[in-house]
Amino acid sequence: MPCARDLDVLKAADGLPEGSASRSRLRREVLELARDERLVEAAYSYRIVALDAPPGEWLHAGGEAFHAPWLLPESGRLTALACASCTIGAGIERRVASLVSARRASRALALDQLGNDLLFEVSRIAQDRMLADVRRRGLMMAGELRPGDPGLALDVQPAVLRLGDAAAIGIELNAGLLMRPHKSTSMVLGVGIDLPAVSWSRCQHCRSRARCRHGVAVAPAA
Amino acid sequence: MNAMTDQETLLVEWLADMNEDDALELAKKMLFDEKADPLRVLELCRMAMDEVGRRFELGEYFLPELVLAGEMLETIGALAKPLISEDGEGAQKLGRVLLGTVHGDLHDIGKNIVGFMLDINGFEVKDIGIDVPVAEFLAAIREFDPQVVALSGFLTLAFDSMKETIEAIERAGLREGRKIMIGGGQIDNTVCAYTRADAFGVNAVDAVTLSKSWIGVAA
Repeated sequence: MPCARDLDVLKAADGLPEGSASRSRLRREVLELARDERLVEAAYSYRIVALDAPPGEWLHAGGEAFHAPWLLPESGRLTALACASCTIGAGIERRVASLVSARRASRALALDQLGNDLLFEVSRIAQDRMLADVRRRGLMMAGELRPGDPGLALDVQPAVLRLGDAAAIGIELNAGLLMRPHKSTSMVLGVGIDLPAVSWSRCQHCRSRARCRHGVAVAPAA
Repeated sequence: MNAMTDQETLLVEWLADMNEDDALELAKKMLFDEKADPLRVLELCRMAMDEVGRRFELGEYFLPELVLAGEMLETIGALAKPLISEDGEGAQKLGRVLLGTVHGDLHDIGKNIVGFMLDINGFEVKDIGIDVPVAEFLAAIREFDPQVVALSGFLTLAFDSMKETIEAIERAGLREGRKIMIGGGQIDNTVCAYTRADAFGVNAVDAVTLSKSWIGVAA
């Protein structure tokens, strides 16, 4: 299973605009902190898993079953699922906790936000690699869902992590389906022949859409 | 309000502009070199916080600025308060807020920021941590006797934990005379109604505003 560790994602974080001089200053400070203290251990793993049965409302892959009708394409043929896990490690969350204890809440907040941005960057890198992989196989990739999104129940998280070999990059799941390290994520994407671009976005149903610093402008779900 | 000297105006401006290093150096100079009245310095800090709040309302500042402003206020306050004479007025707490992340959820950064903001806005805050069982919330309410209980949770499974915690608070007869707010993650009116909380907040500023309104303090 493809897996990559020690990704240098900090350089990408320099480019994100912060909108004010004070937030830019805080961003520079926590970036330096993250570099100096080597707080980031970015990694991803993924697997392209062939469907075990013809696709329907339930998608069967790798011995698991996903109720994910949104991943059914309007045309073309769905033949597999790309399951991936990403993390930036536990360094940032530990440092955030120590900053909070030291009553340095502004730095804690800025470092936590940096962690979120870095996790997005790892997700982007993982998706780029998966896309390159499926294209080499003459396939296409479309639709992205994460456990807990509308369209993919949270209780499939254990299955997604198992299929994406999350354990190889140190991701564990507690009884409440919370990933450790906290700054981790998983995703499922559709893979197949002649798949069209999906007409929906996982951001459409998000209540935080209007104030999200990462989302592109999307119309809310009908 | 007394007219401000140029130096006092500069302190207020630097604080409101998030010019942290210069503002703290000036505050130290005023307090320790020039022996300025520490209560006057604290009053200037509060004026700066009012300006920060105004800019927040206008959408110029966001939560990071509010938190940074709170830190500067706290730092200068820690310098000034020991200089206040014994018969000077001490700060009276506005009220008590019990804060915790509900059972099954381990997220804490949002809760910690809320606790910090409530504290620097004059509330007595007891943070009982993360993954807090229902029984522990009940025990803490009995012991701390808060006017406000704030439940935090980020995961969707936290909604059920919040509902369960609030139901237990009611069954134990501990809801009377208290207000309960929820916050964190994707909470909205639907979730608030489901959990039977009194209100929800989308950020730490809401938590402060709600607490002030419930305890009868001018926001």
